[in-house]
Amino acid sequence: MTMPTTGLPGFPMERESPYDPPPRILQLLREEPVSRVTLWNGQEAWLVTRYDDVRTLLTNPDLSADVRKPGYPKVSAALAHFTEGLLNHMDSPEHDVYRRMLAPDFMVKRVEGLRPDVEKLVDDLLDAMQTHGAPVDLVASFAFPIPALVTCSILGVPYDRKDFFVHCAEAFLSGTSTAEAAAQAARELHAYLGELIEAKKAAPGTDTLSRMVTEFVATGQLDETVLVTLAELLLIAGFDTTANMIALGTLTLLRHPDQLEELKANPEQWPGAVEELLRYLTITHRGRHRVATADIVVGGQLIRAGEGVIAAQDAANRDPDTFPDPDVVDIHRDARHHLAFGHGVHQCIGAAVARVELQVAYARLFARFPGLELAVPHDQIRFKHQSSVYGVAELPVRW
Amino acid sequence: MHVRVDRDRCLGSGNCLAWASEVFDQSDEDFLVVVLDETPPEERWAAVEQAARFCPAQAIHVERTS
Repeated sequence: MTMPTTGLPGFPMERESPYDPPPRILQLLREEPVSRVTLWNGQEAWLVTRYDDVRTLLTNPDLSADVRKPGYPKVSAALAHFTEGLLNHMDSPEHDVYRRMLAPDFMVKRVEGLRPDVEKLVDDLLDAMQTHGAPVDLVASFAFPIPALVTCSILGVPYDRKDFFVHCAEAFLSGTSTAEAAAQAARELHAYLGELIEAKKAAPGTDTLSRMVTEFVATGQLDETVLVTLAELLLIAGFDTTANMIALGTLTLLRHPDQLEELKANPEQWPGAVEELLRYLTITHRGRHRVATADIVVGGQLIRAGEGVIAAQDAANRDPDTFPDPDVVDIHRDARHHLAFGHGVHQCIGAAVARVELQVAYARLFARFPGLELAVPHDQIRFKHQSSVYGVAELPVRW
Repeated sequence: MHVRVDRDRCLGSGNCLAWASEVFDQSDEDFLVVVLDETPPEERWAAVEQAARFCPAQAIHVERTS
């Protein structure tokens, strides 16, 4: 990272170990937990790293998630162009109206109903891997298709359009396409979601899109164009994140063989292990971004209205005051209060879905292929340091 | 301990059930929080306090009465 002329550290910072947050951010956590950083465009912002500060910050009503507000910390060039009023960038009370419309389908009780579908689609992918034979790239053949197919179930994409949908989702969001191909896929998905909503109006099913159409579009409470953006957001937010957790989590487990053996022998421990992997890896490694709408005090530091704030979940999830020995993977620790899904009104709506996907994916993968191992030396694995969601580009495995 | 919820703030994320499913539930009608036990026994106090602390909408209020 080049040192900006102001002498402030740049953000994002560079990792040394692929499994740990950047040393500089952990140093700030210890020495200057609320500090100033500069972004790629010279903009300055506050970086908040302690667990308690991040948690209270994200429930503070005097912070806005609206990218259009002056002072909002645009941590990448891509975000600088992203000015749409999506749900994750709306503030209360507007945000809460849409969030409550979506919430019922993401209740733990409802999501548990998806588990048999997830088990089936995971088993089908494992069958295909077995038929293909080792080695396979776990990212392309397992990690990406799982959230794409689960999103198909949630949105009610019919069986004969699933391949199209999964293909577009990958081209749009996996970061493996050219910018033009990604933009083309995004346009195709946008058009398709519009068509799908029309189809649901004519023949509603039991999926989320159908429920939104019959309960809210038909009654005039929800504009159809807004529903398209909500559907897109569900796809965007649930796809890359879950896929990267599946692949990077698998790699992490392979590097902790004793704990992995324990999990294979005691599958009831998978839910706890999933929470620990979410904490340890915190693949949402660019933090949550807000702008203060009033003067606030965070960790004893005054932050003025109009100043940008980055709540660093990756550092917070390594705060030793909350997680003793934070840099150790320990499937036995209670990590349920980690901040990998964020916190506050924008906390990931799909957290329960992600938990089911991860629990099923890891457990079924290692049950089917107990001898799963890397098919390349560890130093050949490419980590996605530059992506907004952290992970591995490919994960060649054999069994 | 007395447990009170603010249903105007609740967004139905259901985190409270993960901490204390004996004390909190989500309504089958509007999917928002309902309190099953407003004065939970002492062995559940710690879990209820976690539920309040980690409620993303800050919709749970707990008062300790000793």
